[in-house]
Order: sequence, then structure tokens, then C-alpha cells
Amino acid sequence: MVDPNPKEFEKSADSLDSAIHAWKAASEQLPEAGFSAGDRATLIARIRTDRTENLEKKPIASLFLPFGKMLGAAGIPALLLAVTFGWWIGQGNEPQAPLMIHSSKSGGEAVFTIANGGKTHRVYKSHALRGTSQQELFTTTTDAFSDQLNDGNGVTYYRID
Amino acid sequence: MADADEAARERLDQDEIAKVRLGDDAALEALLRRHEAPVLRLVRLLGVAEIDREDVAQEIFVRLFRHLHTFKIGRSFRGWLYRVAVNVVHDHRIRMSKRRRREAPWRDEFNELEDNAHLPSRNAEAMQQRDRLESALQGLSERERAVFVLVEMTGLDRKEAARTLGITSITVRRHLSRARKSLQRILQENS
Repeated sequence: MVDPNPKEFEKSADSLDSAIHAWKAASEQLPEAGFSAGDRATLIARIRTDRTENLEKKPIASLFLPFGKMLGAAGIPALLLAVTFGWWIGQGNEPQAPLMIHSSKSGGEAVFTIANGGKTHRVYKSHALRGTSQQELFTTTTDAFSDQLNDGNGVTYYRID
Repeated sequence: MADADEAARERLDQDEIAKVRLGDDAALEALLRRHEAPVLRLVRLLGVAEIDREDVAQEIFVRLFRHLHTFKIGRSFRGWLYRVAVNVVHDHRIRMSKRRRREAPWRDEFNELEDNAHLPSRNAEAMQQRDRLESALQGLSERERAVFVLVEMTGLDRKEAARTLGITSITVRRHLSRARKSLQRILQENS
């Protein structure tokens, strides 16, 4: 469709551009306020709780999944079951070395001793009992390791996988 | 210069995201402080009633940090944040329409102006200038409005806006063109 009055159209385009320009100038003069300190603190606490809860359970978002995802959603639990079952069957065939963990505090360090026959373990550290803030410290195959404790952050939790 | 500033901010964001992933609350707070005002403004521009803006903005950040592990380092954090914001506002709009509640009128800004009559006249004038365009946005569809706001008012380029909204650049151009025509007409009628 042809604009009946092209000059009028150009004028209105100019007026829109000048309105945008005026809006930008006005926005610079009127900076947007953020959250209050109290609201921000509440929000941070909410974010931490939400992340902890949602990292532990990730539900399938929709029942109406595309075919590929549906296949994956059905296949992965089946595969996991098969692997777990296989592992469980295998457990009976070879004797397991007993796993023993001993922890102690020495100076400013936490010292752990693992008797496990030289298997690989991952060690995580966190200041929350459950949560997302776990930091992987290192992977170890030796039977003893230590970590500095005096970082001023209160209780420290360790997870050994 | 503005591009250099933007690139520096983006680098800062990426550093802080890496720290937040390791559980650093100070980095989380720094990210919030830097982005909360732009997000509140975007929420306003996308038409959320004043009474709901803080709640919606908070929901945006909760959802953003919930899915932070899926963010690919090196991609635009701002674009990703705006994508989450547009989606949360869309969900909010659906919830509101289900409750059959009317969107708070854009007269809010005029009311603020009347309430804040003690403000210096320069601010009052700036508020009127700001309101002129923002009240005209009411005449756009939700998609046209999102495209116009992201490209013309928050400064995303068309490709970034397309990536943010999950649509093609051609669709961005089409919505932008429609939005501009509608706004030109509305502004002309109002003047």
C-alpha cells in the first residue's frame, strides 16, 4: 500500500526518532532505582535456597516433549537401571576392601586418612551442609590428605566421593 | 567508547558468573547491583504494572541464577538476562490475564508526577518526555513492544535482539517496522 502522504510519513518518522532521543536523554536524568538493601538481602537468600533445591531435583519441564527428548527421557532411566543392576550383580563376584575414613585436626589443618586399597576419590569442601557452593578441592588416590581450615568462614564441611 | 565500556562490563559479568558458580555470594551481590536497575527499567518498559514490578524483577533473578549452570561463558550475559526477563514478563502477563486483572494504567507516571510536584521542574520535564514515548508503547502488541524496547530503548543490535528473543533477524525487522509505524501514528494522534 502506498502512503497517501509521503511527506507527512517522513515527518512522523522524525517525530518518533526525536521522541526516542528525548526518552534517552530523560532516562539519563532520571536514573532507575534498584532494590533496597533489605530487599536485595532477601533476594540473595531466596536465590541461594532456590539454587540448592533446584540443583538437587530437576524435573522434566513438560509432559509434551519432542520425540527425541521423550526417547531420551525414557531411555536414560532404563540405562541407569541396567548399569546399577549390573554393578550390583558384580558386587557379589569380587571381594571388596573395607572403606575406612579417619579425620582429625592438626594445627590449622583437617587431616583425612582413607583406607581403601588405593582407589580414586574426589574431595569437596563447602561452608553449607547441602548446597551449590561445594568446591572441588582435589582428586586423590593416596591414603591421606590435609586441607587448611583457618579461612574464617565458620563450620567447614567435606564430602568424599 | 560506549562499545568499550560495554565490553568491559561484559568481561566483569563473565568473571563474576564464574565466581558465583563456585558459591561466591559477594560476586552474586555485585552482579545483582549492576543489573537490578536495568532489569527494573526493562520490566517497566515491557508494561508490568508498578505494583508488580519488584516481584517480577525478583522472579527474573531467581530464574536466572537457577539456570546459571546452563549459561555458556563467552556469550552475552546481558542478552541472556534480557531473554529471561522477556520470558518472565510474558508468564506474568498470562497469569494476570487469567486473573482478569487489568494492567495498571500508564497514568501511574502522571500520578507520580503529580505526587512529586516538589521535584525540580527539570526532572518533571524529563519525566514528561520519558512518559510520552512509554505511554505510546501501550498501543503495540506484546511482541512488537519487546522488539522495539530491546532494539530502540535498551540498545541491543538487531542480531542480538533476535538471539535474545529466539527469533530470526527478519522477524525482528518486521516487528520493528510495524512497531515504528504504530508509534508514529500514536505520537501524531497525541500531539
